[in-house]
Amino acid sequence: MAARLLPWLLPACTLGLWALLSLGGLVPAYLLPSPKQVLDTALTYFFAPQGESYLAGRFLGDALASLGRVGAGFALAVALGLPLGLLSGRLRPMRLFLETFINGVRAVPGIAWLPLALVWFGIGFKTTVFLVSLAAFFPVYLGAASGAMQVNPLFLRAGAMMGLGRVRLVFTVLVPATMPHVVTGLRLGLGISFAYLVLGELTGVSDGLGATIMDARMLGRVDVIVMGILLIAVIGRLCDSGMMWGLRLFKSVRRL
Amino acid sequence: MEALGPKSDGSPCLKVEGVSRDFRVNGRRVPILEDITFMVAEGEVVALLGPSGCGKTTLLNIIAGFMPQSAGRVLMRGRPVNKPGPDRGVVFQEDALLPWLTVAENVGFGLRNGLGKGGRRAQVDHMLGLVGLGNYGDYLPRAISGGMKQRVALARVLVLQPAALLMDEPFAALDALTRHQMHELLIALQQQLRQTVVFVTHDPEEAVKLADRVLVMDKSPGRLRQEFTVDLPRPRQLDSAGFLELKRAVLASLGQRRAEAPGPIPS
Ligand SMILES: Nc1ncnc2c1ncn2[C@@H]1O[C@H](COP(=O)(O)OP(=O)(O)OP(=O)(O)O)[C@@H](O)[C@H]1O
Ligand SMILES: [Mg+2]
Repeated sequence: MAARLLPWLLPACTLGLWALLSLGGLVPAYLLPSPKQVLDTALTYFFAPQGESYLAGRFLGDALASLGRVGAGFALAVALGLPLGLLSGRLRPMRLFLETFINGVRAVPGIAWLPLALVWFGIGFKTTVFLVSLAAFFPVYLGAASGAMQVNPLFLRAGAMMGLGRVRLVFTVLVPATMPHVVTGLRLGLGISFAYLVLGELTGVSDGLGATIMDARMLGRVDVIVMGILLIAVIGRLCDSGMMWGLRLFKSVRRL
Repeated sequence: MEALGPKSDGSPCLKVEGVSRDFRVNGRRVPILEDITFMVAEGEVVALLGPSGCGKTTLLNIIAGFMPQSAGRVLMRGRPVNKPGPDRGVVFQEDALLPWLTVAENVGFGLRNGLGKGGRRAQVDHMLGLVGLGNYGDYLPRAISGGMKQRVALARVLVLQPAALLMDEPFAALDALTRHQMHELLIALQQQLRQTVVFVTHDPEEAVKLADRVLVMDKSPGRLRQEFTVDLPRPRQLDSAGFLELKRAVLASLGQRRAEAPGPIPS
């Protein structure tokens, strides 16, 4: 029972504090709208017929646009980061070849790429996907690389001793043995994907959660900003859970 | 299975010919193994006995094909060894079960897919029964004891019917009673399967108890010092005069200082 309630304790307390601050009049509404006000805004955003107000009924479209960008960017990061990480973790020449370059690029904050991305790709999907995949690449790569480097060499020897060829060794020993690190890398990568999603969408794209937040700032709608933040928290959390659920299809994740 | 005959027909299973191995340590070449030569016949149990650090694991790694030798060669049923393979099953010094697989999955890991699920399951169950773990197939390695882990490690290679079984101090980390039980198990399985075994240990009693022949190794560099043939019937009486005498001789050989001085004597 306690285990079921405990995860909700901190969110509930935060909500309580928020209600107290705004309803008690301690913080003026133009700085912090009340929970009720944000809820009303959210209902409009979700369910009101489109066109009734600038916000009305836009949620589904925004969410799908944002998820599409995060999904594409993150998928690209995984497609590159996982194999490169595994390779550089296992093969010294590969590590030497990649390390300097990757660590150099990693030192550049993702936000510094924004102007260049805008010049290259313009405002919209491509810039956002570029930023997301660039940011998510590093944790995915580093997780895979450090995991592959730390794999117990006895596991690989045991596999080879039992007659496995190189390819089967990679998929039945190396990858499962690397999983704990890979999972950490994927979760960090997905988390940072949302950060760069919002960054990419702040640049004036027409839809997406980040765009809605940015528009709200122009219009002085703090309630919309707060709602956007909460929605991103909820969606980010759900995506993380969804990914973990998917990863648990692997024995090596489920059983460790 | 062949009828019970002599333990070994004398035909060679494994040949180690003039094997040496150096390691580079801080830029210097350090000889670890020097000119090791011996033969193991089909169905024979040979114990490699030597002090810690004399290169027993290194030698076994070379036989297994995990690392190359610096000189010499290893022949498995006449064919030179250059990579690991299921004809040489290894039981490692440390726990090397795959922790994300159950006991049964570990044992079935090396079996060919061609057998089909049912065929694999049958072989795995049979082997788990042989090592006394019939009820533990669904356990994860972390949920079983050290002795049981080594049983699984044994089962997962025996199921592949290796030409030679290479065991690297497999029971060194076990308590005395469990170790004794593992000895009984190994002896029983070896008799039943007429399995060729190379058994690494630093315990003279264990060597004399299990082996047909005991090869005693020197340290720095690792060389073969002396060979003992154990001509005692099985099961061996650990308190019989013959056993005690041989154990004493092996122990004395192990404890001997090397003939040449360990370093240059200042003049
Ligand atoms: N990769 C390596 N690089 C350098 N030296 C090594 C390497 N592997 C082993 N050695 C050295 O070789 C010697 C023999 O090591 P090995 O592990 O074969 O000994 P061992 O006889 O199995 O000892 P133990 O009984 O403690 O297991 C040791 O002195 C060790 O330091
Ligand atoms: Mg050793």
